[in-house]
Amino acid sequence: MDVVVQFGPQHLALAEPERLKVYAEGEKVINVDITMGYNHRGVEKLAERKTYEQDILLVERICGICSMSHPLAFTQAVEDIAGVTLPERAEYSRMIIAELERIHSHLLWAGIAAEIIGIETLFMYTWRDREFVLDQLETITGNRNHYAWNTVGGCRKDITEKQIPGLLTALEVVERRTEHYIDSFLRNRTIRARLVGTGTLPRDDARRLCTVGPLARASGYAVDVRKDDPHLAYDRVDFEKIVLDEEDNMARAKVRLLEVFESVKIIRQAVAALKGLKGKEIAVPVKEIPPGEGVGRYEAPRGEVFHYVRSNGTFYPERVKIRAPTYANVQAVPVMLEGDTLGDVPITLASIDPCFCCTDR
Amino acid sequence: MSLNPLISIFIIPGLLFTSVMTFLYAGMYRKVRARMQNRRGPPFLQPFYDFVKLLSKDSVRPEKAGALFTWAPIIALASILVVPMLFPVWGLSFAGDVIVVIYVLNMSSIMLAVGGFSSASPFGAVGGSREVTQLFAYELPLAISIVAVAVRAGSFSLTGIAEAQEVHGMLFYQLPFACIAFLSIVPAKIGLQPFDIPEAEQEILGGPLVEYSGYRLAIFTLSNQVKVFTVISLVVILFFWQNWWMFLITGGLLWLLFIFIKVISARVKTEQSFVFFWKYMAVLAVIDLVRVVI
Repeated sequence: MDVVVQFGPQHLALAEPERLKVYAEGEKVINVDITMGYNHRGVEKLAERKTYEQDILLVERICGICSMSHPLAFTQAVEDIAGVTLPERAEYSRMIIAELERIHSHLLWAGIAAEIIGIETLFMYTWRDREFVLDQLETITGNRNHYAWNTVGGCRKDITEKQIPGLLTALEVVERRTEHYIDSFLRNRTIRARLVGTGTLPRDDARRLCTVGPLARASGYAVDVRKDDPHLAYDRVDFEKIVLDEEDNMARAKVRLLEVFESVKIIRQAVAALKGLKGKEIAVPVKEIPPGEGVGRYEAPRGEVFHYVRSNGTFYPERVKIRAPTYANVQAVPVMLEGDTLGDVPITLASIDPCFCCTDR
Repeated sequence: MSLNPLISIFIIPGLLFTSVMTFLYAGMYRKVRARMQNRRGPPFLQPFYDFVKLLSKDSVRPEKAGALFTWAPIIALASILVVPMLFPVWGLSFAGDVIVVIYVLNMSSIMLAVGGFSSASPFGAVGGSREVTQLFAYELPLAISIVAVAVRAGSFSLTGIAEAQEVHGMLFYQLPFACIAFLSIVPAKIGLQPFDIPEAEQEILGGPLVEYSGYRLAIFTLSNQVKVFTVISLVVILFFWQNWWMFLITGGLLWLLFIFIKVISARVKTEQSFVFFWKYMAVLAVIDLVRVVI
């Protein structure tokens, strides 16, 4: 029996509209067609009509989760054109917010993945713990998402002494809870039955399809912009690149949860470094953007975010090009699904942590 | 202990008693699960409110739906409601044959599959075929363990099995393996994790129920909730019977156990459940059958 099962444009397991056309023979998946573009908002074109300062707020709204990574990559591209060197305090505080975002994104992913394989309990628990991080983001930046933290040449606000103890306590709680989840849930037999050996993406394919982020790292293809092309203060902090070579859905879950610990490690070092930079400036004034081209890359929770900006010397950028991590990763989904069953489709698609509104821009 | 058959059919353990217990179990499910998941949960009577609300809603029938689309939920509910009437609590003792019970229980599962197939939706069709596959998976250990119980008790009627346990003690002590096999089937039969494969919401949008709405959905949901009470009561009658009030308590405790298992497990896949039932649970049931026969 040949069936074509449509996943989407509206589907329970997917929060965002996009269409997966799954050709199945009984329960076995033969082929997958992916159609995207339901979420296109014309951000790139819109960016050409706004000033650089306004564009930062615009690109921040490309994604609700990576709302630090996009402006970070964008300002980096603009600073690249202007030839600005960031003050050290700005580097560290940007890093703190970005890593907090990574923690909450990974916990969010763990919850969604758990819900998709039918275990709601883990979903409830990880989302409860994610609130600790969101609370900290709110205390520090003023917003739970869309932090409005960046400006060309530095940060808009500063992390004060008062906010540090609360931040460290929240990190401790999150670290302890995540340890508990890794310990209990990743050994759960029913979860292992669903995740181990499904959605396999061999290392060669991961490389050939130019995958990025945790998806690539779980397939043994070690790419991480934070290590490969360090910016901010990533070359001054000590953390590890989590690379596993099990290639399946379980490996992706492990990579993400283990990265939470690395992020906690980074934030602790950054907080310590901030103490030594007390009273230093958080932004350098940028008078004008000269004509030229600039590139910004940042390792968002889902993979590499890439921004290209061309300036013609006015207040408005001439061209902005954005590539979101899902755009690179979604190409790998048909390969991952080949030979799996229909029941594996949602979890395998979710295992790349798709963000279709990022991708469609 | 049989009174007027009309009382058996309409009051206890028939319609009235079953409805009360059904909504009690359903409310317990919502509330206990919520507390285990760090939530407050809905009011205890929420399943009942939902049922009444659904009855007042429009019921949409897909244009290409088959003739059985309307009848599947009704037959499912009617057949599942027969089972509690046969319980040895003032039940129709003359008719309480355990083979009849198996057939009638399967009828509701088959109707779920039929409803899925006739709803003219690929998700319904996939859900229906999963339901049938699931039925094949757990039917073998189910039948074997029931036969083991019947041989041990020397009777095929539910009343006879219950009476034998009142004299010789619970069959659980004598047939532990068959009991474990039967217990493992319960989540598959009532559609809970780890075996809620046919209704997987995130994969096939609720499977057979995807096109149902209004009173048809209300009846289907109710029949599934009655099935929960029925199947768990059956476990108690077959393996844990002491007397009628212990029957209620043991049933409640078993339901708590199944809610707990649901809360801590993910949904497995069709072939995994097949392997589990045929390779392990069927073997367990056979061990006890062989012990009993020898």
